[in-house]
Amino acid sequence: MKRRDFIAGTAAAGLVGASGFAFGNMNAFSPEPPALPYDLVAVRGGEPEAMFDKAIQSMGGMQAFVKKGQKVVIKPNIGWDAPPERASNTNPNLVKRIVKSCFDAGAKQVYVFDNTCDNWTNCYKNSGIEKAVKDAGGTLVGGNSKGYYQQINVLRGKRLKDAMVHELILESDVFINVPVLKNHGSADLTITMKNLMGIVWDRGYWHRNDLHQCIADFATWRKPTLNIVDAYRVMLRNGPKGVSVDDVITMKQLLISTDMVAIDAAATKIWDPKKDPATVPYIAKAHEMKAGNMNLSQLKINRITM
Amino acid sequence: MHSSALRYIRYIIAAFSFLTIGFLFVDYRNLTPPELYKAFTCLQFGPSLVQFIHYAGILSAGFIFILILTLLVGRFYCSALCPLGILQDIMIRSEKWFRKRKALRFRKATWWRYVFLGLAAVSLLTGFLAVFNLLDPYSNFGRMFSSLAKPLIILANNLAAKLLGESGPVVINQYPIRGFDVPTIVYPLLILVLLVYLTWKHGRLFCNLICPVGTLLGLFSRFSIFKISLDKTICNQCGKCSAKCKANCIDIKTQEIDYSRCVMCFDCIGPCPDDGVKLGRIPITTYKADNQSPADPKQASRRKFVGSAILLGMAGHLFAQKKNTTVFEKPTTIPEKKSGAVSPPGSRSIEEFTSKCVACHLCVSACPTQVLQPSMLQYGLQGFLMPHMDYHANFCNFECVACGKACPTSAIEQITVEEKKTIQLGKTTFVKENCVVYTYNTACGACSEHCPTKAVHMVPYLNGLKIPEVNQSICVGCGACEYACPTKPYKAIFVNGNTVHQLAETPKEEKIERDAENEEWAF
Repeated sequence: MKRRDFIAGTAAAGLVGASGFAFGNMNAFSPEPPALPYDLVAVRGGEPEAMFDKAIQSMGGMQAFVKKGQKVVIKPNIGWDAPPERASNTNPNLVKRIVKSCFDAGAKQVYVFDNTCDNWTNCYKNSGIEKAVKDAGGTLVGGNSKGYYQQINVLRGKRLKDAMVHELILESDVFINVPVLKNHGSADLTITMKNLMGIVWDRGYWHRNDLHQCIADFATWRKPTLNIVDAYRVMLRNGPKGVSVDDVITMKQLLISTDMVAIDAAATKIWDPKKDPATVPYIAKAHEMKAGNMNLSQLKINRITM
Repeated sequence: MHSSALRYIRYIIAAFSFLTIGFLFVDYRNLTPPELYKAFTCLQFGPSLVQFIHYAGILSAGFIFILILTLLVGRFYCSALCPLGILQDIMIRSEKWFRKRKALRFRKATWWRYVFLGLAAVSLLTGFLAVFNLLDPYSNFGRMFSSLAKPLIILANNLAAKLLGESGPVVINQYPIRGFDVPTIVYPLLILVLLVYLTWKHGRLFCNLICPVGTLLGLFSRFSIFKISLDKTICNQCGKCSAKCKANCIDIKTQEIDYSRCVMCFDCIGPCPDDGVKLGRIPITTYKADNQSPADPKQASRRKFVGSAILLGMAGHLFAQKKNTTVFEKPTTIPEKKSGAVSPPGSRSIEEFTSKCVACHLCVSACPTQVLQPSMLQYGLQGFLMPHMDYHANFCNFECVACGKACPTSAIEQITVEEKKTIQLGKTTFVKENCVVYTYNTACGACSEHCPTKAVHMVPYLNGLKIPEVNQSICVGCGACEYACPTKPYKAIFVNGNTVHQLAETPKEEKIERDAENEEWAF
């Protein structure tokens, strides 16, 4: 879909009071995708690539999410100018495997970007993700310029009524959200919902207008096709950037789900088994707004130990 | 040697000099390896001389090489190495695309050029570099390319990216233009207009009137071994050479050349129908134009114009104010009371920095985050147009030392990344009353997120909220907190520049002990 078509489409959709317009399974209001075998798959004890292979296989394979000839956008966390061992950014080996897996499922193009916090070229390079994506045949795109971003409305938002979203998200058929699990000075934890702050332009607005509510509001806008949480190396303090490798421990875990609230709740338990996900305000708020389900006991979970 | 061969040698050297140095200033993608910056700029007279005053040595001896070159072949530097000179040649050549080109003619030399040279000399000797910087050709070239050409090229890039992105999967990345402070482009713009006017009207008059480097080299080129001369036995005073002379220095009546102004472009050799203009070893002649009768009133009025244009430009700069037009839901009320500007990492102190910086803005172009921006009066009058750390434009990347590698005068010294991480450029101050957490009782912490050392960290506040706290001993003054702070118009956290850079302590914390790999499933 071209941008012009999209804008026309959004305008038309707005006029008839329905935002659901030709976004396939990315749209929060479109019918749910074909039933998946599990709500959540959790894998532990392997390397990132192997854990991802197990998880996606258990969910029915990448072809359940990516169809032949489709355009895919992957949004890892590439926010910081730090090497992989600092775990400030998503594991590059994992990103590489996901890109490859999309191509194997028949994707025509696979794009990767983030609206980084540190200088974007340094982030892309030093995170190892630039090389990983190129090696797998994907395309890295900048997220650093306002020109990439298009206005959208968040119809169910309480504090966040609109946002500028990267055009790749709007133009792609499939959106895969791949955060790394980290401690976060502002949001407590950063997982899938918080990672979506990297697809919008004006983050300052969120910070000024009740950060947790804005994160929850945006989670009601549209569900990513698939969420993958990297918990191979996990930053337990000084997040989201971290100061040194001393902030990081190795956990060797990975989660996948189409439900951001569920996967964030599960990731909270990984981060600290004693922590109640409802104590992370945006998880509780998003659950309340029915963006997903944080009650893990109600979910069909496949637990795989490697 | 054949005249066209001489010109082609000049073209090749000039093209190399112009393209390499020009590219450095517009390299918005930072494609140039940092190691090449100094290699490309080491022969630039102005910055080399400034560097030599502070760090005499072989690496700063570029200007001595140029002086020797001038004693050999006159002001060849002005035609082949000076990017501003080459830019003027391009302007002269492109005149014909806009209007009918007029023949150039001889002008008498004026003593005004020594006034500008004197001003530059006093500026260098006193360390009050601002005046030198306004006159220096390399700095003027740099400012024009960094402040005017670079943003235009980025705009063109972004337009191309948009158009190509529309029709298919081709992807050119877009690039932002940050912190573009309009008053700082007034002076470069003025120089650009002045150059177009002067080149189209008189050729290389800037080089023989305003440029202190040109005038200084002119003092040496009188004694150069190889010179251009008119063969008086052949010359029939047809004036074809003089009509091509960009420096207006061939007096066809007396068949003499003013070697203090000749820029050795060799354009005069070819036009002579009788091969009477030659390059060769000429005995030293003293040209008397400087001491001749007072210039005609028409010329005096022109000089006045040039002089007043420059003064006007400077005045315009000083009175231009920075506007704040941002509007916010509940505007913050306490202004950021900055005690001082922040100078770049490696500049040691503001005093040292402002006594060595030629304000060429090469670091501004080399800075990958665009946190380095031209200043107006942030450093005071003596630091006019010198780059400062603009934490509203962006913040300084913790791992980056690009500016020191780019700086042609070592006003920003080359430091290692490890060294940089211990340099405190300024100290962070937190204004609680402006903070989102205090005013709205909602979570924020954007400042702490961005802090590379966690000098800004979050401590418990009301209702489970956390509020920033600053540990100045480990603060490096990078400005990440100030840039990230979302409040408007005034930030709730900002950096006060250190007049003299200080040492920041290294943050230390225990390693986390937790055997997470062998824990039970938590859900």
